[in-house]
Amino acid sequence: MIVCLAVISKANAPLLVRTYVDPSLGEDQADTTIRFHHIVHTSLDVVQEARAGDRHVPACRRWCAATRDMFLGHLCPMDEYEVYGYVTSTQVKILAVLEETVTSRKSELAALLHTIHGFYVNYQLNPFSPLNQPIGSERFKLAVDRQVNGYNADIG
Amino acid sequence: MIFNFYIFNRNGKCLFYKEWNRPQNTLQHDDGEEKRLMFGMLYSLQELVGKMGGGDGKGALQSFTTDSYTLNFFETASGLRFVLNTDNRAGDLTAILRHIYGNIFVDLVVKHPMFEPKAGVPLQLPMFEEELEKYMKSLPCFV
Amino acid sequence: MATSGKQHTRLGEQAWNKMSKVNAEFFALTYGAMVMQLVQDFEDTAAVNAQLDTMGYNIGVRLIDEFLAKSGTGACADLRDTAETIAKVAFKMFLGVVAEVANWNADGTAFSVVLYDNPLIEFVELPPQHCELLYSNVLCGVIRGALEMVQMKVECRFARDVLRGDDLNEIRVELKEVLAEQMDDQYFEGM
Repeated sequence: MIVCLAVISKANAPLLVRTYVDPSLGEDQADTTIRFHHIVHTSLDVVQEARAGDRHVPACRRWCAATRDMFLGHLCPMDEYEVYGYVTSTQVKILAVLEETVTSRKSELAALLHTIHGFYVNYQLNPFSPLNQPIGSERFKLAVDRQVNGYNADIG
Repeated sequence: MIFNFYIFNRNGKCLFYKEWNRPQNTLQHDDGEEKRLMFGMLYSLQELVGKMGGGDGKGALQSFTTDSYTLNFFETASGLRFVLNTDNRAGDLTAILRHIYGNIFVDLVVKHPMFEPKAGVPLQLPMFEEELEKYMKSLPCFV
Repeated sequence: MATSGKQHTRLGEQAWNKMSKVNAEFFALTYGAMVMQLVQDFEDTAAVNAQLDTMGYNIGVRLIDEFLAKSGTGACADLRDTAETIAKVAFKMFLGVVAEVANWNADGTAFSVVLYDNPLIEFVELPPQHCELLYSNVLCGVIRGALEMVQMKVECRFARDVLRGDDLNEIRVELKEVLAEQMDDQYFEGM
């Protein structure tokens, strides 16, 4: 299941980090958030590397060959989690941190991240949305939460 | 044959005047006076026509004919009045006045960013004049 | 009454088919950018609302001629006719959506235009600090301006707004007076 979903700006600043950890496990919410911030932050280096490995591909084709290609797939294991990545043509990264009890199906995850990318686009279309600043929109958060919870329910 | 053409706004200001054929002009000495008389006459006539017809008179007056000319009249709900004087052989010109309003005036005057609908200043829009000129000259009744 | 309602709807459809179209996202984004600029230029939300209304008014006084010329509607018989024409013909023609007329007052001098679908707010979510902003207030101005050109002085305001948490958009229109024909000064010289 997805335990954390993060949207990261072009300049690698976190725009939104949502965690989906069962509160009954006893961990403090603030601690959980910090822990995942850390995981996400570390994973960004891997995204960077994935991009560097693509250097031989012409720049124009590197990130926007096809929509599905924005899905980077599995990036790295991190502690007990697995991190998956998605990068838009405008270098906005969407990272999903998963706790893998069963092997997740990649196509579903890709579709999920693609949907969330869509939400992000719609969020950006709101004239009140500030650029490159943490996302405060309740509508966006709600849409993301609903999507992720739906995914988790399907897996679980 | 088309003689001349007026556009008045609701308050009686003449927004536009153009003449093509005018063999004699007895009001030459005072341009403004003629327009004033024209609007005043139409205004009174509309009231009278309306009262005689029993309604509010809107749209009742379309044209009248004298020995030497026919006056064609079209008023919009927004209070613009279009007046076209022709000879007596031109036929019914209501459709032509509607076309001038709907396709030429609206597109080239109302949508012009410099046009102020409520100011009542005479139009100075070359595009509109050109288009109107072209349209008028294309009409079979022009000459 | 039912037949006349249908007729308005049909006129609206015809007018809509005749109009040239613009991409809805482009339209919504352009409007959004303009509102944002106003929000930045005027610190006071009430001033932004007033500015939007004024802009709408300036659009309305022009739009009326476009409307009359292209919609094929003539002078309205009464205020009910006017209300239906605004909701069914004008909104369809210019925004591509149909509105409903509702909530007549007892004297028949005030009504509401109810909009279920407002293309201006497609992507918009009002942040809490702008909760007083009447984002679509331009529509009120348009109605006010257009009706003034056909001699109806109205007051127009947003009574309900989806962006502010209501379930639909409601524009309240109140007829204040029917203006008399006012002749220009030049006709009073001799008196």
